[in-house]
Amino acid sequence: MVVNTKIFGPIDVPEESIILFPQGLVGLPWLQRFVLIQEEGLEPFFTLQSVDEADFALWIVPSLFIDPEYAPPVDEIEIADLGNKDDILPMIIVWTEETDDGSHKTYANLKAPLLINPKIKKGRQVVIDIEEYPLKKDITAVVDSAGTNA
Amino acid sequence: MLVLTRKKGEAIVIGDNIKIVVVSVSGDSVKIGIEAPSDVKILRAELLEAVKDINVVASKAIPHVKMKKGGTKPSILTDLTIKAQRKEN
Repeated sequence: MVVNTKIFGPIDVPEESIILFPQGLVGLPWLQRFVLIQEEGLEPFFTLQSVDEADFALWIVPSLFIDPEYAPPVDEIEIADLGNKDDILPMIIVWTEETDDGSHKTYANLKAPLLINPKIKKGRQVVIDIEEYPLKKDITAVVDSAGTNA
Repeated sequence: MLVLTRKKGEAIVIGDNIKIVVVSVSGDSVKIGIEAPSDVKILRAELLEAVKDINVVASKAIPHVKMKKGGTKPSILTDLTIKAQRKEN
């Protein structure tokens, strides 16, 4: 099927690549179908593009890239539908903001990761309500050291 | 919205399994105790609102960065991902 994407234009996507978030995203329950798009040279970042809303896309990265120790406590109940626990990948939403001096900062939301099981193509955004994992962590240095040229 | 008046130590029962107790009241703060089954997720409303706000902000702020080669590649995802190039602006 053809999916209209925010930054890549229309792209052809095999149906079997669509990842289902049965609960939608937090606060956005109607956004349930996504595709993961990888851009040449931008590994390990992915674009999580909504199939239903062309204008909605998130930039996500495996938690491993931001913090190898990242292991949020998640209720078994919440991931009951996500298949084998060992197959679930925590992905972190990242975004940039322009600062007052015109430079860019990159942030990560460690409080609400997207847990994705690529094998069964299902995902869920969970909320980790502990202080150790902030909603907005400055990861500018991490991204820069990986070799971005903003 | 149903509005009920309760005193310290009094409780409200919701359905068969959820009980909410007013533990203490101090100024404009109310301490609430909740008994619920473990599969009922309990979160402060403003936290969910904040997560939603970040979801929206992040979706509007896809960065236009170019990375050099050599990131850590999560191969497990490769069979699932679509490769694409940006459209010309």
